[in-house]
Amino acid sequence: MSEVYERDSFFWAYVKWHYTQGLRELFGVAYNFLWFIAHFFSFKLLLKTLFVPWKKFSEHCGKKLNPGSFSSGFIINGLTRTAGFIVKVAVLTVGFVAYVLVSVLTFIVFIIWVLAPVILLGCIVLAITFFVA
Amino acid sequence: MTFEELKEISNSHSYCLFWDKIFPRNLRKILQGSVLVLAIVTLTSFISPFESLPLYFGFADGVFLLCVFVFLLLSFLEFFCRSMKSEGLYITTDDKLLKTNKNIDYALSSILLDTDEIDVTKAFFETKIGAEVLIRSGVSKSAFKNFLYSDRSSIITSSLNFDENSVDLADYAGIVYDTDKSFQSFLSHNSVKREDFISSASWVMDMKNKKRRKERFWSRENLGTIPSLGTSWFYGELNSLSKFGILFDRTINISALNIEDGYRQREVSLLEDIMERQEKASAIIIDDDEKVVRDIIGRFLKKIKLGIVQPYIEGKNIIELDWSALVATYKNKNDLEGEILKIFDQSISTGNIILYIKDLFGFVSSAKNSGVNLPSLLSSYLSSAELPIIASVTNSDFHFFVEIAPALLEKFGRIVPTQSGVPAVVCALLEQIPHFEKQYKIYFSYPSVFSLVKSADRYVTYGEMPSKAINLLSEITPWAVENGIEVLKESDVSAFISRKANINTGAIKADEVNKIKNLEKLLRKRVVGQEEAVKAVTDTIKRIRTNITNLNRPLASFLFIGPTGVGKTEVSKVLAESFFGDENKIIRFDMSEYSGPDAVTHLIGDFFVGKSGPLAIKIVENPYSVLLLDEFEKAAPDVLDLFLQILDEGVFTDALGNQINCRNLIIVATSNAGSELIWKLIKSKVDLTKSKSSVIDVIIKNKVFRSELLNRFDEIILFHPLHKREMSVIARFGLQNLARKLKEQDFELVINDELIDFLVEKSGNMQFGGHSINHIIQNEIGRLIAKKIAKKEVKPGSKIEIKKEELL
Repeated sequence: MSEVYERDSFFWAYVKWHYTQGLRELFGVAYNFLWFIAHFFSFKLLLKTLFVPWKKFSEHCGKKLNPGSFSSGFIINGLTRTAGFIVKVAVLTVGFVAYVLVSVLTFIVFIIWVLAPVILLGCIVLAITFFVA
Repeated sequence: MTFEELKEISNSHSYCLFWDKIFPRNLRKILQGSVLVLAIVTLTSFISPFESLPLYFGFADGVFLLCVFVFLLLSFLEFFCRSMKSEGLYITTDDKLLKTNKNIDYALSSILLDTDEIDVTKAFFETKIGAEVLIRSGVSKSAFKNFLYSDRSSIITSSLNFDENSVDLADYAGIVYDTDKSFQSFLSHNSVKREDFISSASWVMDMKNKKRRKERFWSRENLGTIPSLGTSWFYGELNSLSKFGILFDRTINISALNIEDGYRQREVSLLEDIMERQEKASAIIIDDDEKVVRDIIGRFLKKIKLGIVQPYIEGKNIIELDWSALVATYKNKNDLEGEILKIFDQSISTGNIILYIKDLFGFVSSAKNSGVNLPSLLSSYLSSAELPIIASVTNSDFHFFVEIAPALLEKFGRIVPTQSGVPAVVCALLEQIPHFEKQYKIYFSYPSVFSLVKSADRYVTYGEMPSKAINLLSEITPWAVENGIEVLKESDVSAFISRKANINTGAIKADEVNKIKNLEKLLRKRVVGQEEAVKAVTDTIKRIRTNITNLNRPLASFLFIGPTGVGKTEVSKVLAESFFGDENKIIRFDMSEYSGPDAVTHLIGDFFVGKSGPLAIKIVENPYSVLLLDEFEKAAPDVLDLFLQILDEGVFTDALGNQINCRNLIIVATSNAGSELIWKLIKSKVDLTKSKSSVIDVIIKNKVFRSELLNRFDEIILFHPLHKREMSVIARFGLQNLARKLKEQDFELVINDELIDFLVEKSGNMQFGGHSINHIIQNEIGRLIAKKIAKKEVKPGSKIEIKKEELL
């Protein structure tokens, strides 16, 4: 791609990069970060094991059906499953928030990227206006 | 391709290099940070309603906007630079950001930018990268400076000849080397070979590329190696698996492993194939070195983390089972059995676990002590693909396994890591160097690393590569620091090895050249009348010291043929003294003791008894010595076959499956075979050196030795029987030795011709050569003197004179 910049001055090389390769790389980096979040928070694994008891704690009811042990097993299993569900949902939520944040941030950076000349020019003009005023 | 075209291809790097030059990166970072802080401060003022703030309202707004402008501008330029810098970076990991069609190298681009047309060599080495290449080649800065300002012919850019389309730093270094003749002679004067120089450039290039890759924190390659949160939470702290299992990536730094250089690629892809199977998805890695096994698993895990494995293995975690803690915790059979089953079941229910069992044989044995039959417990799990297991086992334990649990082994896919050759180990060692350099503040030159690997291969007899080389590296580094060495060179490695192994390696020093020159004289002094043997020994020493010997064989091997008592053992002693510094460095075997049907078992040990044999034990204890095999012709045919292998490959395997290194031995086999013919030839006054082939033919014809065996020896030397003149020299030596001993007790032995003539006459039967003279001195003369001293016929301080009549 960068053959385009050959013999270009630094300024023109930059301008061309900004609206072609730079823009493409911006999305590439954002995609990597989103992939990382999904990988870091193990979305796939947590969703698959959402109702598995927390830290694999479980109580076996025994071979014979005993109403006492059945009910205690039922309660303990219910509790560990609930605990597992809550923690996993919490992790998933944090992960999801991070995912959304990165997506929003990417969009904001994209806007700044596209409007860069306007923003830069605006900043400098306004700054001068403030100083002169 | 011309130089100008090459420069044009590398143009994209020039923007970044130019920007770095006029505005260094550290300065940019500081400015960007300060601008950000200032922007936050002014923003506070901007939103604050208090007029009491130190900044004037409008002025603060102006500063804030100015800061935003500078910050954005710097950020955009930084992104641009980093993007340009990544051009041409090649990695195999799935990275959509990089295009692999670019054949340019950043390190080279930085040199091209600074190269003018007039003096390419000077421009090359005046850059930071070029200077580093020189240091890595083992050339000192001052030496190069002297060369640069000496009377030399410089080369211009148009004289460079680029044949290929893709040129990197190593290629460019090679082209400069080939073009600049004066630079070539400068390097050879500094003992730097072409390959060393190019490999140094290649190493510098790899390090720079590695740094560039590490800087790209946003790449999948770097993000992928961060351990994921959810998986470690998935199995709890209280269940059996996490109690006795450790995540493998916590035990090894996988980010330091380079999976791109092809090192251990065969083993990793073999492991991947086994893990992907639908049944019997378990692998056993057979190697004596646990580090090799961990290295292979680490590289496999890195591939999993980066998501560049087959879909079935994706997202799996490797957990190492700490079975020693498990066995120690549960002493009772039922408890242990229950816990092991629990761990296996939990691993299956987790669904993404690959279990690593270190030293499977140790686990089986320890479980057996508690009464648990582990092979039968394991076999049902191993048959399915539900619980993939990777196990490690040493070679000798593997032999035992074949005996005790063959059915269990069938369920494992076997991986036998290949012994790494020198180039592969150099690659592995170069990965470790940055860590050592950082810790010890020392610099390694490429030739020193290469020499280190070669020395480890050659002189370290215990262990396997690359561990041998890495261990040597960790020994030499503190030694170098102690000795104030800043840049480790090849000569330093030789000095270290010489000190460690007590043998001389490296370039022959001046005093050593004199030593070799005098060796022939020394040998003649101690070995009487054996011209051919003396010459052969001297030539061998010269050959070994100039390193033209084959590295995969023993240092040297001789077959000494001749009657007894003619100096064969004495030559071996001289060899031991001159080469290993001590005449007692001899491992001696009387081969007549190894002539029975179970001779090999006696020599190399018995597998069923679980004991290694004396040959293996003695060689491991004295790896640098002379192996003297007396009466070689009497050894059993199997034993001769064993030595055929030793002479050919320099290694053999003992009964326990350990590889014994014989490459640092000088092997001397002696034989009386053909003595009768030698006697006949001597009697008919035929020159023995000219009839060597007829003696060898007779030996082959009589089926004493096979011709293949004889061909394996470096030299076959005929020792001729001793004549009267030589016998009298031996007699004088023997008497002088006795006189020396008597002198210690304050007696003086008078040695006269009468006594010597008597000894030669008495020994008469020349078939026993020098032995008979020594026998007479020891038994008859020695006893006579002892009697005289006991009867007080001689007093301390007086002379002892023995008359012929006394001896008759």
